[in-house]
Amino acid sequence: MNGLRTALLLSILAYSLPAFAQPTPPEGFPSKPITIVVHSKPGSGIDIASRLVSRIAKRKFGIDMVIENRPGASGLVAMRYVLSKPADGYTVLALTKSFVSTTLITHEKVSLDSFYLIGSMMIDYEALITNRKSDVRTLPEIVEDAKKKHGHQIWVGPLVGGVDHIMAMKSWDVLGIDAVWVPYESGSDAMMALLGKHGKVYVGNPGDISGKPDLMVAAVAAPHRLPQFPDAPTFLEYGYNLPREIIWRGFALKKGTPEPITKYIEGVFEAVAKDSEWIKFVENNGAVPDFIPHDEFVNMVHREKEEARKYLQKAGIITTDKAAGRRNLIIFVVVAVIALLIYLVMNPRFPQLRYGRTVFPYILVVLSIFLFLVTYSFPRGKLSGAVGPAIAPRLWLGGLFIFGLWVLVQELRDKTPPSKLPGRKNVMLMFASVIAYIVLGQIIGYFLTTTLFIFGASLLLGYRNIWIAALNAIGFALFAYIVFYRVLGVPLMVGYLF
Amino acid sequence: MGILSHLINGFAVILGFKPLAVILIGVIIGIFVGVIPGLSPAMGVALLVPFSYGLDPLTALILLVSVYASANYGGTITAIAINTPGTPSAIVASFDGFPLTMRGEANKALFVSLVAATFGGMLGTLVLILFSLPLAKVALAFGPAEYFALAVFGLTIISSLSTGNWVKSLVATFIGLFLNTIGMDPFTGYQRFTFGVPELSDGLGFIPALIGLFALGEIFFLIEKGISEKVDIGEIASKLPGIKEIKKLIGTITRASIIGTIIGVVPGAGATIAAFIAYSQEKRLSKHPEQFGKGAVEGVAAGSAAASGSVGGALVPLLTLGVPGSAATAVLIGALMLHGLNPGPLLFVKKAHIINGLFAALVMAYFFMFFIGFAGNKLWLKIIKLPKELLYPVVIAIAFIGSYAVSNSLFDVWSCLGFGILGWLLKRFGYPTAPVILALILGSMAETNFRRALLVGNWTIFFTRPGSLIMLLLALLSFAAPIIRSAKAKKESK
Repeated sequence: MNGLRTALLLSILAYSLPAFAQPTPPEGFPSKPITIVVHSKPGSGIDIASRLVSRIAKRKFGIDMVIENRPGASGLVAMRYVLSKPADGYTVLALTKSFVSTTLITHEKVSLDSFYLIGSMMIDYEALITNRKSDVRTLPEIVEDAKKKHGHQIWVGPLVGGVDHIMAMKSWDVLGIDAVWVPYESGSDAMMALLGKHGKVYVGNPGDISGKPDLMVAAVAAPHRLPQFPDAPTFLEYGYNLPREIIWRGFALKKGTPEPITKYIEGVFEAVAKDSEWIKFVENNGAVPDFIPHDEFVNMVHREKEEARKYLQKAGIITTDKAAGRRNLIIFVVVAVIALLIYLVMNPRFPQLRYGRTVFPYILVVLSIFLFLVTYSFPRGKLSGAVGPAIAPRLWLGGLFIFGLWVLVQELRDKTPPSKLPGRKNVMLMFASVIAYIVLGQIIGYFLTTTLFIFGASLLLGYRNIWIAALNAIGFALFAYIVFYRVLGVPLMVGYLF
Repeated sequence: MGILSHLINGFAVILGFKPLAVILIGVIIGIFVGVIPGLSPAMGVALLVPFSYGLDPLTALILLVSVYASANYGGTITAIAINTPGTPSAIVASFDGFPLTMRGEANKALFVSLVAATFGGMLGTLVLILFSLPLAKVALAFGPAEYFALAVFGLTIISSLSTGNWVKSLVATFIGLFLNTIGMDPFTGYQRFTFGVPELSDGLGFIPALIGLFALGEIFFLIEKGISEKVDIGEIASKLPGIKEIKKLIGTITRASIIGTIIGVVPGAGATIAAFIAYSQEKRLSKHPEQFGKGAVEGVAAGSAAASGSVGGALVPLLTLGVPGSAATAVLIGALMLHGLNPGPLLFVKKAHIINGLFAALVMAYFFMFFIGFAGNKLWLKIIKLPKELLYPVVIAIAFIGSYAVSNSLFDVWSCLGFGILGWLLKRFGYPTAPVILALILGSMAETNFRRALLVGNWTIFFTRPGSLIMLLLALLSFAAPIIRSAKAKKESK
């Protein structure tokens, strides 16, 4: 009886003091480091946050977590990479709200449903930010100015279709206005534009204004004023119903990970989210260290997906032109056949056509015609105004066509045959060995293939001393191992053999 | 002299064993990061951020800034030695640096690059300390129209990069401009020319392109030419340039440093564009422009000084506005936030000792860089002296691992090889490769800002804004001048 009571007491204690709630690891887990896959390059916000998670997890639980950056395609590359790994809990995906848009824009080649969402570790409220020195500063001033400009008010922010763009569209709905979204390469570029008065409103987070006295928060989409930003009014205060628009950063596992492992990792991340070092970090970034657990997280993401779909369609970003791929293939075949026929017909009349220096511009001209035709399947895009996505490529391809043709004529006029270069065979052999190197590297493993490649290529180029060539090759492989693999943590392919 | 006292206060902060040791370590890491192709200054800084977390804010900042300051110089080492730009901005140093190496004057090229980088960096720091507030206004004045005009002006540099056949230069430019449009269109989200390949949706990686075109293209070309003809580098390689020679370069280095600093201030323009502009400027001013591209020391000096100078420039928007001026400073901002420091004008008031320390640390970092670089050159020369048969395969392997390391993607390795083959084709058929790179850098800057400007206003915007108008007129002048000059020369020779 006594034991039971103590246990009960302890469990109550553990419940009321979350710091005591230690997640219990399943048998033999983890037996190796856990990899957190990050979709952006080192130094980005989520990368730094993930590295901090790894630090705290090590301190609290002695777990080794390594960060692996798999940037590309707004997170698609990272998602695919995690899905290519076994569902054993050793690969964790760091994700942000932007993934919701990514999966929609890429026509759900990868779905967030393939992941088990562990939890969101920090949230950032969305805010409209203005320039203090501008004539449009407060929310009422934004609305008034927008109505005066009849949809020509300039809003700046990061890329089209992203979280901030959706927030902008949503707030236009709520405020009853219309404006122009001018996208920049990154949030900070857009902020620069706001500082330079090249736009009226910037969509971001309250934290963006810290350290920048010229910027102010016109309105934040939070239920109440944030303690770190007491001067920032909410939408609600002005009577607009936009109580909670957030950006979250969280973590996920591949679906199908055994439940004990899932539960354990969930516990670890929750404990990290409640650690004082984490909370300090989040607050330093002007964000809110709220932990959103699995169930709530899943529902939230589901809602966000439907909302994002609505706005992305409205903006004309999700388009469905599935025929484009086949059309392009047909165009390619037709252009290639015509080009080949012309080449064969002209060949007897112009022996110069057989020289590489003439074939090269010929191919460029043909390619420019094909690619020019491809641009006709580009969308007009409601957002692009007068200048759509096809204009610049057409201009460049047109230039390539004209000047390529010009060079072609020059080369045809030049009747001198090209001089034979002595290393012709060597260069071809080198191409072959380079291709073999890349292909075999994935199968056999980076270090062994690299050693073989350098050794073989040295001999191919005519080096005589086998021992020095071998030493040179082994030396480089060792250098790559130490510097890239160990120190820089580049995940080189370790194949079946080393 | 409030500013001087700031600097003195700064030195008081950093003149201790620990800060100096940190700067030294930072500089060594920075040079190393620069030397390795595929590791850009930004990535070098980023990789150190987790380490810096355990340090106090000032020490952390000093470490990261030292890495950033010296990485651009590091990049020129490989550019000169093996025609593999270690950092994007170092590409310009390779135009003349590698021909110098082929002639057996590697030591001279390396030394000039070092002197120019040191001087450029120090001057950039000085400009940062003295003129950061007015320069910040320049950065703010840059709207879409100005960026477009700057990109167009930058593109006109190809006319001064071309050697001989300018039609072929234009073909190379348009190849680069087209390749730049591959990937997601930032204005509509549409995937242009990706043909369903997800790795293409961010466009072709710039670093694989750079390494492929220059390092691989050159090696394939040299292999085909036959590497039997041996240049004995050993004999003359160790010769250093005399003081007289360096004195002659003072004008070049000063001009290039100032250009570098000013271009560095404009966010998004950065070290590479700065180096290109300074290079073409020096070629235009030179009495023997025909030697540029064939081993003119002025070319090496201009590229290195401008790239180094841009560091001070890039710190201007960071410190005065709290907005990054380059990829590396974007990472720096992240690191500062990690330490609870909000970059921006308030930092000067609230944490003056950190700013002062930063200024002093930059000066110190360049000082150290000079001596470490000087000592290191001996090592690089040994590498250059390796037999080509051993060196080329290693360079190929470095090109691949460097491309892979950028985003841990095998696709980038294939793309590097593809650019290598393109570079080889261009070289053997007599097209210059530099315009491809310049177009890759400036293409999207031109396109996005053109479209952005038209979203904001109408066509007249390019001519009614004075900054934009001036740059467009300069562009016209800069494009036409070399062509007219060469046409005149042709007439006269007839």
